[in-house]
Amino acid sequence: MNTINEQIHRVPLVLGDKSFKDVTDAIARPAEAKAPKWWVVGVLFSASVACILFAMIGYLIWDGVGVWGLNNPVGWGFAIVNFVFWVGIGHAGTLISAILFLFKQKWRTSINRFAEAMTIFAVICAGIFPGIHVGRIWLAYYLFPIPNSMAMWPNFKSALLWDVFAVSTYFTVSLLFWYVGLIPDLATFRDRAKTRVKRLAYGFFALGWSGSSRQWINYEKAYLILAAIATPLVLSVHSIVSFDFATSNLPGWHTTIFPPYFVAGAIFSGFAMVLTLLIIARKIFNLEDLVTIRHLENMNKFILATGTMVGYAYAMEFFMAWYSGNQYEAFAFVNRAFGPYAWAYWIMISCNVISPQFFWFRSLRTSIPVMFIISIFVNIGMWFERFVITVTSLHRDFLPSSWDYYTPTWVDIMTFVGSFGLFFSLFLLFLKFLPIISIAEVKGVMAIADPHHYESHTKKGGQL
Amino acid sequence: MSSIDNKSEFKTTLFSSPKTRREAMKSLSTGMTVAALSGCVSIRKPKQIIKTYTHESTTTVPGLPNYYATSAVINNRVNSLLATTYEGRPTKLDGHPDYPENNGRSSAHIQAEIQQLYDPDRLKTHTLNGDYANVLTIKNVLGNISLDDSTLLVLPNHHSMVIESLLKSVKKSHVFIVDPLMNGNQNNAIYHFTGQRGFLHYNFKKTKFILNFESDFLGLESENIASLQSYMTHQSDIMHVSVSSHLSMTDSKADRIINQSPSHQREFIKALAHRVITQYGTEIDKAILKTINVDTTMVDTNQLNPLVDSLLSHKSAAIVMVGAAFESVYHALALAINTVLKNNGSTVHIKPYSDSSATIQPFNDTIDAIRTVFQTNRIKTVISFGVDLPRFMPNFSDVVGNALIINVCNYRNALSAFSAIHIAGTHFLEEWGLLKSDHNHICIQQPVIEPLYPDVLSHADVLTALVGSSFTVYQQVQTLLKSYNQSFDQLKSKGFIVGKSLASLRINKAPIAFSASETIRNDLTLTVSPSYYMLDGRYANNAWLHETPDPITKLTWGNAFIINTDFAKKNHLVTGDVVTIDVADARLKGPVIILPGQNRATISINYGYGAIYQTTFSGYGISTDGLDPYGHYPIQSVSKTNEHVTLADTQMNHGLDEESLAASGIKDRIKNILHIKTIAELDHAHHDDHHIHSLFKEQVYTGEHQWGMSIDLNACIGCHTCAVACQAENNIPIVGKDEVIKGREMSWIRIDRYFIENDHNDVTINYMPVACVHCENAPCEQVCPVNATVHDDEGLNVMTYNRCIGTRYCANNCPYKVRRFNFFDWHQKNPQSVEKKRIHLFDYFREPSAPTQKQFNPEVTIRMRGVMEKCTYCIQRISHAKLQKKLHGTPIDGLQTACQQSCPTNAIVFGDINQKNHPLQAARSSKRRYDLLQNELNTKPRTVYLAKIKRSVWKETPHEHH
Repeated sequence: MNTINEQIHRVPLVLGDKSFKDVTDAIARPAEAKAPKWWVVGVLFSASVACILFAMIGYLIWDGVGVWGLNNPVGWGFAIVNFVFWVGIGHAGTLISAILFLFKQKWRTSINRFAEAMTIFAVICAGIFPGIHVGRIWLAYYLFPIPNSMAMWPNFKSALLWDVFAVSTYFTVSLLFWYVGLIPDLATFRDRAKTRVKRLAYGFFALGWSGSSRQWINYEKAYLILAAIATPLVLSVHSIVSFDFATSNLPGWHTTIFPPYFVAGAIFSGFAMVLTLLIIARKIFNLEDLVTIRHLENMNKFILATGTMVGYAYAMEFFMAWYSGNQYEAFAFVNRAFGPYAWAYWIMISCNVISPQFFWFRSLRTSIPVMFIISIFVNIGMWFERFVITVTSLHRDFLPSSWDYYTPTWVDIMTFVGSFGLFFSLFLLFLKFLPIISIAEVKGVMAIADPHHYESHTKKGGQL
Repeated sequence: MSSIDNKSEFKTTLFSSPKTRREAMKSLSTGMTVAALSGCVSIRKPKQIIKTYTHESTTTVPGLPNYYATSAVINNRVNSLLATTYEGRPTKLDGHPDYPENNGRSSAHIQAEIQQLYDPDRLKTHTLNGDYANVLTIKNVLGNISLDDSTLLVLPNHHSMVIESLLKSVKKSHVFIVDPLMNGNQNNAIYHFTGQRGFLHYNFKKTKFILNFESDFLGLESENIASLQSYMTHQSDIMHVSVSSHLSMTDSKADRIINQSPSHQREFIKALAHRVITQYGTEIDKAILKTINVDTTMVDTNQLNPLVDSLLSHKSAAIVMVGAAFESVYHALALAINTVLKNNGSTVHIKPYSDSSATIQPFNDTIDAIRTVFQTNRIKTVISFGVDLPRFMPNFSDVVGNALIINVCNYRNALSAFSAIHIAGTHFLEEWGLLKSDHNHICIQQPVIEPLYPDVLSHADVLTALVGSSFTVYQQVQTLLKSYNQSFDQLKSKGFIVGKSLASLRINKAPIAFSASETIRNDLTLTVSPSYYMLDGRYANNAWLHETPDPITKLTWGNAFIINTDFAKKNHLVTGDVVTIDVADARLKGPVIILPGQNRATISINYGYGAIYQTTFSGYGISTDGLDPYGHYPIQSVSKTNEHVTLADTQMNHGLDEESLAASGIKDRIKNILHIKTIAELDHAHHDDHHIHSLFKEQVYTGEHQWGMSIDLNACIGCHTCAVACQAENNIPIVGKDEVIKGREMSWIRIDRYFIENDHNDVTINYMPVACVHCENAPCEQVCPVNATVHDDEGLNVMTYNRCIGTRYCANNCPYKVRRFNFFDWHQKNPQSVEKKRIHLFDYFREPSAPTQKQFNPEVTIRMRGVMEKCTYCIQRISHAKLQKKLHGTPIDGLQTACQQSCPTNAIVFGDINQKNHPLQAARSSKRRYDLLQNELNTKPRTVYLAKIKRSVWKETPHEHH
């Protein structure tokens, strides 16, 4: 797509007349300069919030799942909601890095590292919740197919087990993908390192990268293969997460639309989260030339598209509830919109369906404050979507005698807040110590990387 | 085989016996390392002493229960009981299978008595002026009390023959039986007609029509457990019309409910009496009408006329009943109507009490009499046998003066503040005795366990010491038995002697004129009736009964004012709002609950709550002290406070009060859940089975037995006996009020209550017990990631607690929502738990108190926190029965689940669905059978339901039931 075509004047991916060195300097600066004050404060703050998470987990393990607000009809609450929320956020990373890579969407290079890091951290946060939500955490290893003398295996029919495999695979592949992409940049950091410790640390993880042609050939192959492996995972992991609900028989869960709907929702929420973080980061690190308005606008288009898909799914669920003629199904959805949890439903609708519609307008799509606010709304809305699906379906199912209301406790809320602490702690460490934009890849899409660049050097910014 | 004989079975490892010195050193060092690494090993080793039998008992086989006959007065009915004991510990109580008054069935109270025995809050020692006093001191004090008219004895009931004979020696003293649960007004009416004290016995076999004014004859006012069974047997022939201001368990069996306020009911009864007696009565009968004036404006003749017609067309086959809260005159009118219509002697029998010597008087009269005794005599000593007088006598301190009060009790109560001496009482499972039932059966009360606390004394022990008898109670029982020509040993094993039924009393005179005949026009009436589980408050420290939901309100851990929807709207009240209600004698304050079926001019409250005892679990709910356990009070004012509380209900009442969305949702699905049908609909059933086919390969069941259950909704009265029996049998913990509010109650079988209404005044109440239905295509099994819930080949859906990690996915996917999750270690959270003796480093836990630990059924695992649990069809009983069959060839037919065994109306049948001639077969092939949610989900439940029958009382069916 982004091949050389004299006729088509493409918008430059990197603005400003930058040399390769300018790019390297800009990206390496945070890791080499003294930690700024805001960063120290930020890390301390988020680490303390992360400590709340671990304190809450400790309390949970000591006292029991009852410290949460769960009850008999509502067996899953915040933990599962948070799990799906974080896994969903994790989706953008792989989508940006793998799928867009395969489609040769070169604009991705400025944001893929960032998005992948976010994926890893989000999946770490997500992975905590299914682990701790079980009643006997010390026996959670029963979920893994560990050979044992009693020939006891997990139940391969259970979607929850598929989930264990899906999420762990996703995490492993995402981590590998991210790490492989990091290797050349780690080598750059190693080479620029001024202290022995840094040199050794970056050198250890750079795996002896020297930048030889042979290494580059192998690297490109490996990266392509990993991208190919990661691509189906983007679709599979959230499909499987949706199976947790879809394979049950609960009205409101038992729905065939769930896999595509969950994937769309995951991309939706993932992009929103990337956007939120990116808007802040590009401002702080003065990366406006690398992460341009065009990048942001493209992401907004994704948000608009997936947001509309999600809205369509909401409408379709209602249609099917009516069309199926199943009274339990119909009640579940009417109850969602007008029952005791209607407030959650309408938060979801306004954040997820209404707010992205502003992106139809170019002026709003390219306005930083507008997109920041909408991205926050989408984050909130997508959390509520999972809440609505999980809780409203459970709280009123078949037999009215069991109907009840679920209210989260302070432990529920602080655990969720704490997971943000963990996420931001990891993210701030990433900002400080790793190249937040792929140096090697960005250089590849710069104007001066074009062999014909100097032929048309008179044109400002070059063309691609 | 011989070639491998010399080889060790397992391969040589580091830990197998060493062959060489080198290997020995190797394993030694490995052992040392492992021991050092694990660190805690040496600390963890518990130091506990195990006592073994030096001479093995011949009667006790470890692991096998022994059954002993005993008996008790429970809810004022004498019940012969069968106690299940393991190595000397009673763990369960059931009715005696041969005893004619319960036929082996029980009540929630019988089931919960085991909790009373092991209650760690029981008084353990006697006190004299607050200090410990040993038994000898107490007996000396008792022996020195002069048995003249300065002594007052207050006893709780009149059934103990030992006490009856001992009381012969205290004739000079004042003796009263204070029984708050007695149907005193009926008793008075009978006395007026016959000159003798007695009670009514109904013969349902001959009954075709019942007109019931709020008599809870299938609940609190039931004659005995056998009468419930008798009603159920003949139910299909009985047309049952219930006139009520607040719903009761009995109303769940009514074919028609007419909602009327108590004031209207009074006029209705009077109008009915006028119509029937003036037309058909003799001059003597008519005498009673002399003082009766009817306010005809309060009587709806459209309702009265068909009822009169029905009564007349069922002469000598009808019963008119009046509830215990109505004044004596209304009971007398009902008695007169029954006499005129020749029901008396046919369907209604007036029975005298079996012990004519006892001075049994209605509760109110007794309290007044005690007051008079205090006023007219100088009472020096009061001995109360578990009767908490200050609760019934306001200003008790003024009344009692400075008399010495001896309080024989199991818990510190209101009387404790006045008592100089506390005598710690026994539980009936610890004492000897002999009881005589109202039907003249004699039951042996034999201890099945040595008193848990060595000092405690039974009521008979105290009386023995008081009269200075040199015979022990044990000897007295033997002496008393001599007159019955029955060997003591035989009675101990048989449990009871069937008595000869006493002749019914005859009405031989016109009753004394009644004065209370003025029309009472209450705008608002407060009706008081005993709590179904606390009764008069005697079970106020019983956590099992506290957590058993009230059949009507579904409230646990407390009561509330039941109000009508329209009343609530008019006064801007919602469920949980706290109000103060003023009646003549008292001001009550507590939350309201809006309930369908409640009359709009009536507010109802259950008696027996508040701070009854000074114990862990007492103190919940609104205190009704100062009011009668059965009573109607004109309400002077109702005022709303700013307070609001959350009520601990186990079933929300969605909406039938506030939320129209939920209400319509329930209305739409109720026919799929309850399948209530008319007989015509049953006879012309059109099979709308969907013939659903499973996408999965369905499980094939190949076991020798295939277990199944049937639950008859026509027979279920919502009494929750099954739930308490299940709790005792399966070691189900209580969770407490806050956790019930959160929705975490653990009961394996719950009784769903559904109101069906077309307008607010015509509401039926319907019950449906739901436990795990053991689906053949179980949704829970598909989703468990660790295979912790699976099927066995006999159709049981079994839980593997060891394997369960607690994802709760199974509970989410269970459409019946019968799975219960251990959110906490409920045994540790129980406020009666004690700190565990630390055995190892990390042992900072609590455990059930020492007596509570004895109560657990050893056959059933106690579940730890974090695991899912649910009904197992009493798998321990199934295994036991199968083992007995294998070992001794005992037929498996005797197998009963705990719920089935306890059910007073035989609503539950359990057995092998393949076994021919099993009662289960009849149920499974019944027209009334339906499988809950089968059409929706193809779960193929093994528990099937028999639908409730809907009948129209009048041909024109003026009110359509849904």
